[in-house]
Amino acid sequence: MTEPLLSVKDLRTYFSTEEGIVRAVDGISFDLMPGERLGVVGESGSGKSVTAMSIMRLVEPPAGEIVTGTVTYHGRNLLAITEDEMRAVRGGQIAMIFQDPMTSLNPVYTVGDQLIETIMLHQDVNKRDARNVAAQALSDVQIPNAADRLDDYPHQFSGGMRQRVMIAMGLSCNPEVLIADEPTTALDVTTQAQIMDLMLRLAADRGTAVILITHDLGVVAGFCDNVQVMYAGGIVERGSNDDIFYRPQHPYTWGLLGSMTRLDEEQQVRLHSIRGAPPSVIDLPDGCRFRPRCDFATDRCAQELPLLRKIEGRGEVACHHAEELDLEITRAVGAAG
Amino acid sequence: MFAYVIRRLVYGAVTLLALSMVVFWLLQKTGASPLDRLKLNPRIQPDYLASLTERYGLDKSGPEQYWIWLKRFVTPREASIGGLPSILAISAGVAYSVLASRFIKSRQFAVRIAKIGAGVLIWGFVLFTVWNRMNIVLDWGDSFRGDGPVFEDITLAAGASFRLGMTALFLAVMIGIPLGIYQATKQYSFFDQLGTTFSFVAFSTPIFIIGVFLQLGLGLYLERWTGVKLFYVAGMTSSSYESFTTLQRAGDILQHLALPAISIAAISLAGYSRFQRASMLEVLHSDYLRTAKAKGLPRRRVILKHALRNAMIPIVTLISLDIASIIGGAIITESIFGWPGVGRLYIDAINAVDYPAIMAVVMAIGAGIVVMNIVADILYGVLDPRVRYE
Amino acid sequence: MEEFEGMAVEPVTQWQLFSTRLRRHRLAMVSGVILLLIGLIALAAPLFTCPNNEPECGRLLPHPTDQLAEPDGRLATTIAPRGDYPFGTDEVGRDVLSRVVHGGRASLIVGVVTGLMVAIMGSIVGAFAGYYPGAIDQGLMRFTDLILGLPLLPVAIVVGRLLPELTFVPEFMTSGPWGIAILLGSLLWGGLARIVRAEFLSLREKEFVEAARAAGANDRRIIFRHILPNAMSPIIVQTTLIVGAAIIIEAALSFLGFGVRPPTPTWGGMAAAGAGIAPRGLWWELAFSASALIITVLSVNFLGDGLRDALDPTQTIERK
Ligand SMILES: Nc1ncnc2c1ncn2[C@@H]1O[C@H](COP(=O)(O)OP(=O)(O)O)[C@@H](O)[C@H]1O
Ligand SMILES: [Mg+2]
Repeated sequence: MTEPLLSVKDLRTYFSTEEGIVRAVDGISFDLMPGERLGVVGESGSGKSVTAMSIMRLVEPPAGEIVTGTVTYHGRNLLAITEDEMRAVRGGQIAMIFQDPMTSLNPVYTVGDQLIETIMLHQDVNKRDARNVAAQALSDVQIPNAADRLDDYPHQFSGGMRQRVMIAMGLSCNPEVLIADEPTTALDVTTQAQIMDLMLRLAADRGTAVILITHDLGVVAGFCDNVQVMYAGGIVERGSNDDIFYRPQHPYTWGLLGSMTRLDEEQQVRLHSIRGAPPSVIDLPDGCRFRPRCDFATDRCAQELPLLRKIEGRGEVACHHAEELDLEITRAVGAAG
Repeated sequence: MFAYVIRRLVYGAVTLLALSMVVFWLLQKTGASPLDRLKLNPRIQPDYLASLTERYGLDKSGPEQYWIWLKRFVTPREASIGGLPSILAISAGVAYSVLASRFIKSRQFAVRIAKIGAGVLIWGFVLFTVWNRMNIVLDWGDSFRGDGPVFEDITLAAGASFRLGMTALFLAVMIGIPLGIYQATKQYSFFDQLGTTFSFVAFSTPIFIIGVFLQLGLGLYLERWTGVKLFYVAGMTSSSYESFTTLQRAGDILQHLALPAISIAAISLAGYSRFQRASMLEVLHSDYLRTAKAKGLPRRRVILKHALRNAMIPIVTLISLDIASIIGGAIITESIFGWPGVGRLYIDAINAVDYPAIMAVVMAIGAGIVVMNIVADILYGVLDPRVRYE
Repeated sequence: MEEFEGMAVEPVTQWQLFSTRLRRHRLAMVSGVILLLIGLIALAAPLFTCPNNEPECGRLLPHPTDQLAEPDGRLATTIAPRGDYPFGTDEVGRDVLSRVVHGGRASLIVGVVTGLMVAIMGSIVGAFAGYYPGAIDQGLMRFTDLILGLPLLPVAIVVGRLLPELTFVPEFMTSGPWGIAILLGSLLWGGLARIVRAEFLSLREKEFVEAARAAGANDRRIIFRHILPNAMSPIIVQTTLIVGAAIIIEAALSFLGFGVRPPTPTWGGMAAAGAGIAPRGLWWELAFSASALIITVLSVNFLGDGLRDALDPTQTIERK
């Protein structure tokens, strides 16, 4: 087995707010293999973005703080290196794409300006070459007349086109890891599939590992090798694509699957859903965090926080009752992809 | 953009027309007609009174008087624009403006700057040429206080007001904006709190209080207690100004300018720094700044390149709105510091209900505001590529 | 009916949120209390005052426009603050404390009346412009632009100067604060109208407006019952700012002599008189009137700031 490319251990990121301490990410660990496509799913507010921002070390002090944890990348702990060293990693080796393409580009500079800036920052090229690289990057993401469009401002692109620009920017320096935080959430459904397809194909061509963050299971279904499910700042279940979609073990995952929209269906078919609202990550319940919303909870769940453990023939799950539950998936999902 | 400027000028003219009607109407609606007021002045000879009545139509109805005033106001007494060179220069300016707005379409910031810069240079040359050769004397009437043609008073006073207003604006912009930016980057620090408190207090203090306190504190009592005369509390230059060397003159001007300029600047400065801080904070929390950081840009570049220009855009609008209050503030400050500007002219005219002078000054101030607002709007478009002038 | 319930419940939670946020803004609370005090004192000023300054009336303050006599029969002019005249007396021998207390009345009347006028006119013009696109919007906004284009202070000065002489102006407005208040009210509503219009443009498209329309509500009901309450936050915040500005402008006009006319005491007028005697070391009239003015305006602005934070924590930019 090869070494993981990126290894996150016991990461905890808290925010101090007026209402109290927000434990946005509370002790998560995972590995990312070279070239792997890892999906991270969970309701909004479960800590997915904060996880990504923590890896990039972009959590803003003084409110946000990475309390403990290590992020090992090529033998170095990214949380311990200097800011200058970290800057070389950001954008150069680990790139990130954000949710809202409408606001993620600086409105007062041309797209070319912003691309060239990134390229010159991480590669030893002069401005003319950087411009060529930028034009190439734009045409890689299938923007017509790439060379001309470098001189356009972001507002002259549509949402889908802007997300293509963001992808071009993310991949322009051939990073080893691409973190895409809900890259298609803001786009309409037809564009979503195109963009996702394009992004993952380009990443595969370059051998770039991808962490794909989304709250929509349907998005990861067709595109990822492995999936981990987050709930209230922790990982509740992890496994291969098939594990998650055909053999879910956590009641939460099961609930998510029940309420997911299939890409090939227009209307949402609700088979079973999760009751209640996501917990506030300020006042987390003792024991299992999912307990208040779980149909199968027992006394043990109220007392003891379940840890992530491997189940024979299946993925990993953080549930005391994984073996006893028989969470039937009534519909073949994942087949769509 | 050329068309845009023209349209804005037309709107401005409509505003000025409305302004003139309102003020003229109010002046008519006082219990005493201008004629009655003049009769009260024993120094005015009956034949002079008759000539004024004849000239301004003082015995006619209100609308007729307005019409007489308006005609006179827009018709120059003498006008020549200086022959062929001026005409050529103006044609060149217009030609450039039309061609440039038609054919130079690049969205590159540098090209936009170059295009507008060339426009400014060419028009500057045009104005310079025309200014040197033209001779326009407008007939804005004679002051009823017997000071002669109002137009001459105003052109003289405008220079003084311009000096004061521009200095104040310069101070406010050069201090207020960096202050706000610095505060935003150091949010919640002691310095930030201090700045916020200062701007809140300054913003809540009427300008005449600032003026009076500066005058008393830094002008009068500083000299009384230390014996050093740092600042003058009245006038624009000393009486012996003419005999000074250049250096002495510069010093003299600054000593006179400092206190009134600071009074006007203080309040605008407070507003700018508060506003700049808020807009900078908004930008600092924006998605595109996160993108810039995620690209690995150093913090300095993130702030100086990506944050600054965005954060400056809204402040330009604020400054354009503020021009009116700087001019308004100048009226009060000029009367406190005896500054021989348009504001003091206005107060004097108002006190005497000197109607040709009131009308002329109100129109001059109104026109100043209209022009400055257009300038600020154009600047806004230069900074923000999303703005299109239709 | 689920939605109906939701709508009924929401205002309560909104209100709670608002009041907790406001209470957290301690400065705003303190400012509110100070304003309340200033308001009460100004309102009750006549009750502390001897109507004709008769010595035996035994009230707290002498009449603000009456000159005071010392035991030896001379006028008590420019007496420095001391036990019986805590704020001193002015150049013609009137009690400065009494004048400061009464001077608040003018500022308050101007603040409140102008604020109300601006809130009402700005909301109505903005609401109609935002609700009816096309000719009505165009017409109203052109008019608003026109008002905003007027040079505020020059116009206020000329009107203030002419007020006592204008033949069509009712008597009560000619020399007191009422005329100034109404003048400022009619000049200052433009900014609010623009803000309300923008709110209406976006709220007009919201579902609850569709729902109300579907339920058969007429335009007037939709505008005033459904949309306007949702645009309340910016209206309140902007109005508070206007109140502060109006108090300052009134003071400036009175300072220049074109506002409330003597002998009615105003803070601006007292500051002018005080500035005249301050070079002789007679500081108190200026100091006390200026302080009263600054404290009042500062309180209004702090309150406005707190209200903005409480009503709309996301909105950070303001002014005018
Ligand atoms: N800057 C911040 N300040 C305070 N709380 C934050 C901040 N950023 C995120 N949080 C909180 O952290 C939790 C996780 O947020 P996030 O990671 O953005 O969720 P998501 O899974 O939707 O990406 C949320 O409860 C959110 O409110
Ligand atoms: Mg997120």
